[in-house]
Amino acid sequence: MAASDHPLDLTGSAVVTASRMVRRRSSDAVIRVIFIGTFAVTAFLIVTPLASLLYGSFRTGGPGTGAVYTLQNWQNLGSRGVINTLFTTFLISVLTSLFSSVCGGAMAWLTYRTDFHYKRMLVAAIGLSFFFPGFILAMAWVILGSPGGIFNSVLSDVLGIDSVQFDIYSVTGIIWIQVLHITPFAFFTLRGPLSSMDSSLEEAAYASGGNPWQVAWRVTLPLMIFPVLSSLLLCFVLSVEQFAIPALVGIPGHVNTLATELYLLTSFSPPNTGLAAAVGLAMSAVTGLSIFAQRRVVHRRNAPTVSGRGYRLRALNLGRWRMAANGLCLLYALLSFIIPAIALVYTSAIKYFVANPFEAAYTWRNYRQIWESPGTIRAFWNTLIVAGGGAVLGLVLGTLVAYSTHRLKRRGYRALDVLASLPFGIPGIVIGLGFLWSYVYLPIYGTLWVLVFCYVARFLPYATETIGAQVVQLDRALEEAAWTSGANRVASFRRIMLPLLRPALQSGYFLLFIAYFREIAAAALIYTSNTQVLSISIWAFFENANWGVASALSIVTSVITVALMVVVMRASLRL
Amino acid sequence: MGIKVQNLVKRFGDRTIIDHVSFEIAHGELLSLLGPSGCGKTTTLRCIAGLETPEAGRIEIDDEIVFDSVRGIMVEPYNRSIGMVFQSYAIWPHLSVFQNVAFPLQVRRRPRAEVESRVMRALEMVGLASFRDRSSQQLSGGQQQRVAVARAIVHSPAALLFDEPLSNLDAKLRDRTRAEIRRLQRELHVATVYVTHDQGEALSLSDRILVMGEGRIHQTGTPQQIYGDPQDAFVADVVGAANFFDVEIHRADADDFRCVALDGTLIHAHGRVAVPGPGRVMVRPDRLVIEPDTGNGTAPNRLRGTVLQRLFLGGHFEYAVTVGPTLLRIFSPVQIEEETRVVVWFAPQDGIVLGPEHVPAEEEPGSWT
Amino acid sequence: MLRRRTLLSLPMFAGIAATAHAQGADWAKVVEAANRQGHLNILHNTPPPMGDLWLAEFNKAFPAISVEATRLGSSELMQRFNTEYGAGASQNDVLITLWDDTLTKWQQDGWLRSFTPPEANVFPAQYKRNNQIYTIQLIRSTLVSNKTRVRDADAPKDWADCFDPKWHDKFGMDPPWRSVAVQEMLAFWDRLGIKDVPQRLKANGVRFFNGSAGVIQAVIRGDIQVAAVIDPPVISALADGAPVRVIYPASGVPSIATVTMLPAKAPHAEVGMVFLNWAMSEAGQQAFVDIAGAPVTRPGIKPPKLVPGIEGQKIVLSTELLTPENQKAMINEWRSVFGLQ
Repeated sequence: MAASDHPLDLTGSAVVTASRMVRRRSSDAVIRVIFIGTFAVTAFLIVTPLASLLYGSFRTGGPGTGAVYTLQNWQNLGSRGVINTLFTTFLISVLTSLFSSVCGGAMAWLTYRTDFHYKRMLVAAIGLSFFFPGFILAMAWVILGSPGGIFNSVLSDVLGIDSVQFDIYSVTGIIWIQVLHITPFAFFTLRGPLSSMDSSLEEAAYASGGNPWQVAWRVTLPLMIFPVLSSLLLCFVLSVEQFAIPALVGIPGHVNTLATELYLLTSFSPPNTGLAAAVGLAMSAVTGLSIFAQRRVVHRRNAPTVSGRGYRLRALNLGRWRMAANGLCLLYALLSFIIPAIALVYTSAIKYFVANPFEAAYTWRNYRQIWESPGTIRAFWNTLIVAGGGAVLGLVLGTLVAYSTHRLKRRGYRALDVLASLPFGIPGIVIGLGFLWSYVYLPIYGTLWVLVFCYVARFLPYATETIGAQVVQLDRALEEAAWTSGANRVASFRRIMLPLLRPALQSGYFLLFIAYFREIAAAALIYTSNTQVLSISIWAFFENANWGVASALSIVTSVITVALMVVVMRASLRL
Repeated sequence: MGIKVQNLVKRFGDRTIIDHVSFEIAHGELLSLLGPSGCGKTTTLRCIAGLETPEAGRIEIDDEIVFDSVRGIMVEPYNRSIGMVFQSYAIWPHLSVFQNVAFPLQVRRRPRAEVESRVMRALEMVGLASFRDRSSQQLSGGQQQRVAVARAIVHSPAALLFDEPLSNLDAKLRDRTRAEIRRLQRELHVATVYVTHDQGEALSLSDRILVMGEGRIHQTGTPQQIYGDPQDAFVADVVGAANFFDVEIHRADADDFRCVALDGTLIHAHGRVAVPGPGRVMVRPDRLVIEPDTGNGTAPNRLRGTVLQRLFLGGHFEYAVTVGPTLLRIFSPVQIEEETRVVVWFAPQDGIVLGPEHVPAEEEPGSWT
Repeated sequence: MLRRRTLLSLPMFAGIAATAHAQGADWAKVVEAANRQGHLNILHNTPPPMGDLWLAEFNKAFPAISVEATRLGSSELMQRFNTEYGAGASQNDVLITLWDDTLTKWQQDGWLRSFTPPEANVFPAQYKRNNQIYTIQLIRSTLVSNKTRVRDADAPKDWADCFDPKWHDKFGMDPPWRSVAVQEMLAFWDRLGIKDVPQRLKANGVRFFNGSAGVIQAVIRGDIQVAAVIDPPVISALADGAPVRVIYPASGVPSIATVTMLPAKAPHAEVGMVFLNWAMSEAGQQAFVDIAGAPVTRPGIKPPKLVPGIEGQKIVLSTELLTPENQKAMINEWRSVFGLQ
């Protein structure tokens, strides 16, 4: 035992540490259990539907249709139609992901690293625009930008300009709406890492005379390479699986994307679910590979930028760039939220579409119809449970997976990493199909649990990417210091990692909540009357040309949910 | 024994990072692990901390086995009585200074009064008592380092581990902190392992130095021993500036070696190499005397050369002198112009004869770098 | 002649009367059983809120039976049922969906219950299929135009008018690979002798929209001025007062049957029977007309308010039009013409 005349000894006896002698090769049993548990849950959630899909891709139809084995689906992958569609989809998605990441990243940077004046409002606008399902945003923009829409009426009837006409039915239109729709994802992905990056790295650049633009480009961006790549990948995948926007805007413009094709394959007669399964799996393989490649490349160069050393968050002075920054953010808020919201409110208040508000027939009937539809109230509670509660589960699992793959690195962690990123590239429809095919045999079919499991599985990569991007940024020594100070792995995770991960956890929860809230495609295949969620309700009204009621319901649900989210976020503070 | 390491082996893949390393540190002794990057010193430290698991060997801290590959014992770092200061300090940004330092006591569930007094004592020892409620994000580098030290000592560990703690500080701060660390360690009387690549730190701080290269120990000894009596060229070069020139060893009696330099000059020196044959002589730059060549014939230990370059360093000059094919580095207060022909000589006890092997990392011995 | 008929018919009437009486007694037992079972699980494709309101009428007629309804698009509905019934997990008592070839397969596999509700007597034979599948309502293809932009005189009156050059870039429809209704309409056009449809439409700048809802919204908005579309969203639009003109061509109105059927194995079999009967009864059919504004198949029901009823129209049922082979051929042709193959 150490001597008792130790200068720091006040009580006359040395500090007693926990029992140190262990008679076997000890590793923290709790951590092992947690790792195995995480692995098992992830494997179950993800492999089950994928296995069903794989099986289904070798069949001519779904279960119960008298289908037989076939290789035709996989052969059809190489058909000219699929290849063409692939090319269009790729083009649209690459551009969308670039623009979204640039927009989202720029706004995240303005909000979290400069003295931009309207931070709260910008975050609110971004958060609000997040709530609209893709097809609602598309619907609003169709009202605004179609040949018979409001913009053109204003141009020709009010301003008398006939030469310039908008036509949202084009590739540009699709990219436009998708960027507005997906930028919030980029924003929230980059928020965590940006807000915890060491300022002194940028300050050095400013001291050398760089302006904010140069510094962002040459210092911040290279340091943020891992989160930026994650964001690009996320936006790319989100764009690829969008089916509502390209359906609404692309079909009139003769633009066909992969997701729309899948939507047609699964939802319309004659259905070809086998081909849909094959395409979905192929897409997943491609995105899985790119994620794998991203990890390999980036991990070698990765330098932690949060080291607990010189950790300062000095807000940068924008100076004469302030006007440009204000303009950019105002423009975004207008385009993604304010103008579409006005279009929605207008649509919800009129009986049928008229471009001139003075000629329209106004009515409250659309709002009344919401309450008259009994399924809607139930859908609201279901949505709260699935999105609010389910997102917690998704976040917990995502955090465990991210921590396991980036820090714990126990045997098998690479397999876990691959597993967790498999759902990334699979469109919602296809995952829903997989869940329908596999879960129909299980007793939980028809309950909200199926929806929750489906969503958790589908969006797991989003959670792990968001949390993982921040985990990687944390210096390993921060945890090691906790261990050498006497905290075991669980305690050090709880007291050191979790607090440091808080921005990412917040973003992650918000991201998941919104994703679950607006999910249509997967839910459509597995919901029952008891488990109907709001997105389904809105979609049903929309599909039946009741755009007025669809708008009204969107607005009502968004308002209520925003109010709830504000309450929840206040509880966990810190912008 | 404070810390005992026996036959430690650590591999990463097929590279052996630590190759059968053994040493002991007594209570209150400070041992530096000195060597170039990649020599395995940091890995050794992390093995003692429990952050790495060795392939083989045995480690004891305060007479308790914390690792034994034969018996299958591996104690996790949080169950070892250690305090560690990291190169990046690893101060937790979301906690205040007080909370950072209190952490090791809080996880050991010490009563609040005890935590309070111990933390304040530790902070006083590093001179940061008035900083207790500061957010750690507001600290300078030097202050963070001191918090890291306070945190490492607050729970009276049986072993203190430093991982290049001064490498991120500026020179003045480094010197000051060096002295403070020494003082602190003496006062605490705790076995300490100090990893560094800086020979000045090692020489000034240590009770003993352990010179490591490529996973093996080259030499262990007091700073004077290591500096004055290096076992091989590697050690000689790591611990201080050194000049080497090739010789042919003719006679090797204890303390009386006779060698012949390349240009025929007779050299008297001392050393441990027993075998006649090719070898090298090492002389420290401050042990070489330089004077203009007046052509006064030849004598043992007198080499002829030309001044290539001269630098003024305030207290003395640094000369680069070509002697035959060799470039010698010499510190001298004497002022001599460049391109002057000079004579360089040294006393026999200042010349150390070494074997031709153990070539140090740099290509040119005695070069300016 | 007359005599023989009368002679022959007497026993027939007697038989029918006897059967009716016997049925009446049995039927009362069925209703009683249904009331005891007390729960209806129905899988249907009627859009909200019409579906919910119509089912509420059933609930009013049979207050002891609570209603649990799941609403899906017809294609998804059939997939869902396929999967669930195939796995033995189906909880549905009644199905309402659009007629599709898959239903023949269900019949062959014995998935449907053979049952003749008492109300089925008055229905024409073409609406009853093997006593298993009953057509209760029709969805018709129609020609619509925007009243404010197209004068009565210029409006298209028959299918061939769609190709009129004056509708260049102003004619729209749901693409056939997206809609069975459109496929059936096109099959009808083929029967009428209208050839080279995709090529001619493409030359005339046809616009596609996402679903019949998208089409009708485009007409109202003015993106296009005329369209060939099915009538449910049109009825919705008219109910809102939109300026839409509806024409059912005299040469023929391709129609899709909305059919009702009972699964062979259902948790509440009697409830299903009672519902089927009510859906085909005067009360149920009239309620549908009033709520959905769409025509039903039972003879003698008052026509809907906003669009003409089926009386006097040349209804061409989908069952006669489309086969899997010509369906595939048609889709392939269209996709090639529009560069999507």
